[in-house]
Amino acid sequence: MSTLEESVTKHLELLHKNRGLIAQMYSSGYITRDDDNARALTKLQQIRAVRINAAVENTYRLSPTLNRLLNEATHRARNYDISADFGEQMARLIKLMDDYTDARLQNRIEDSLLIQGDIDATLYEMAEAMNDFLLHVRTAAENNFGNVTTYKEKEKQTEHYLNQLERILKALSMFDGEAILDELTPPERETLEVLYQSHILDKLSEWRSRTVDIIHVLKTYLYKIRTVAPRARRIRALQLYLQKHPEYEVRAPDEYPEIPEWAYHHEPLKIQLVPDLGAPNIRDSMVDIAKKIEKAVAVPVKTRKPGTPVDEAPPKAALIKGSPLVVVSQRLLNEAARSPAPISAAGYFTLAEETKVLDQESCMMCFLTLVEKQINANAKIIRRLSIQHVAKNEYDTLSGNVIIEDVLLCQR
Amino acid sequence: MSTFARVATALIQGGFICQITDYEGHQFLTNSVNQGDVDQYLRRIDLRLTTTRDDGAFFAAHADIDVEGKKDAKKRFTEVKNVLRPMVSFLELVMRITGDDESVAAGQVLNLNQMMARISENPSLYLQLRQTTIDINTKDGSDRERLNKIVKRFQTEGYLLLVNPESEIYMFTGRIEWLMEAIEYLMLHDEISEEDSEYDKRAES
Repeated sequence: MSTLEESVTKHLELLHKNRGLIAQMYSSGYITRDDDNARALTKLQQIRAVRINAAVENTYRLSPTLNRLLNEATHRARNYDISADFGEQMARLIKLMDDYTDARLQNRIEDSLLIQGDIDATLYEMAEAMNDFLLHVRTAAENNFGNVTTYKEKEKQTEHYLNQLERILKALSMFDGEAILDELTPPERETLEVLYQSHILDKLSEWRSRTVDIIHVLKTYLYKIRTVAPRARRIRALQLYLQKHPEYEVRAPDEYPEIPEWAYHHEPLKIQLVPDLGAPNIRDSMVDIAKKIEKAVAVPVKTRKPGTPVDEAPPKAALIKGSPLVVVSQRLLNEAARSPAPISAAGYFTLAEETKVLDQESCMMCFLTLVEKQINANAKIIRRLSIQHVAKNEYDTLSGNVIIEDVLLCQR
Repeated sequence: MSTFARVATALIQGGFICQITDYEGHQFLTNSVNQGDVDQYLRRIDLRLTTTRDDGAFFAAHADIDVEGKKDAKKRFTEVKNVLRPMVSFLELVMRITGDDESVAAGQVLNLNQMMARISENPSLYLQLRQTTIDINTKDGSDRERLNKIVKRFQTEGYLLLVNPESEIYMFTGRIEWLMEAIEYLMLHDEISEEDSEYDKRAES
């Protein structure tokens, strides 16, 4: 046996076990709770087979569903049937009240009692239908319409129930409208007024508050579906696109048809405040602040112990020797700085001990580089010298290839 | 400092005033009279007060697109260009982890510990985290360090606010709405399809 079958069987067994109570409630309209039936009534209430009867204290009556089932079983006909539309039900109620007045005025007591029972049942069913409807929509809204799985279907359901709730609000204003209250005014309808008060008017403010509350929940949910869901869809689609197109990059704004509002956001400006020490009040405030600043912690000066001389060998020193060409070049520059007569660099290199064995052309090239570096560095020695280049092909200066064969240096 | 002074200073410094970053300031700007005052003040330095589409965040914009405005617009496009890939990847990651499409909206909470726990359970989420870190040029460190670096970057750029340092809980700020508008604009003009074939079949968790 499936779980569903089992639960139906259990339900029917419970109803069967309490068949006496149910039959009594159906025939009398309601039953008073006492020590004998309290336990059974609680169990029946748990499976929503019976409800608390708001009209009479400490009494119970059958649920509209079970009532309808038994109506069908006993072929008991109900006047004007039941409708889910509260507007229609109100119209039917007014008609029943007219019938009730006619019966009372014509002294048809049995008929009037029968109609009164119908009115009571109609009001009770209206109240229960309202409670059931609000509970159902609230549960569905809280569960984000979990009975359907797609966003489209959820959106449809939300719109449908919002529409229904707007109609309920209209119905609620009809329940305490002048039209229906006037209908209850005639003295012969006093009993009906009591019924209407207990079934409808006493619960009206609670229904209104619940309806407004559910409408708020549904509107929030609809906003979420219409705004949040498309945005999430956009993020997913863009993520997929970026994965498929690693080359994609946002273009420059000029390449788009217009500059959108979000791009108008200005570049942040830095604000720096400087105290105006010229203003006496600010200066005084600054003095107060300065006084509150804790003094820096004084660091004690460590007194070092005097050292004792140690007999040890002097540290090893290495004499850095320059390359022969650099040494000779430097000596040449120093001598030339003191000599009023020009000294030929080429002749100097030929005569010098260190360079006379070297290739003279290379010596000249290196010397020229050294001099150029000294000129670029604006060296002191260069500023004291007059330097004159002697070109091999002076007669042909326009050839573009001037070959320096000597440099004449003397005191400036 | 008065609310006006605080709000005006924050706007001039390029801030976004939303309920998350400055609730009082946001409430102040929601009032049309205060809004007018701040706007008038900003207009004296060629700026104006504007909001994201849903009024979730206020920010100062150029009053006109003059030379300076164009220069700044170029910077905003560059900013979006730099943040687009890592941010979209990160937002999609958050939505996958939470199973809630609303989790990347302003005011939504981001719990790093919970995120990390889910990432370590799921290799696919782990791969996406690695990809996101590559997008922001941080490959070194453990997974947790990588996640921290991503979140820190978005915090620095004003998209996230650290609301509980001890539990490492962040919150999306109203600036995220600004980025969403940029994304919508780019997808529209770069003809990137918004179609998600799985969308209509997808059940909300």
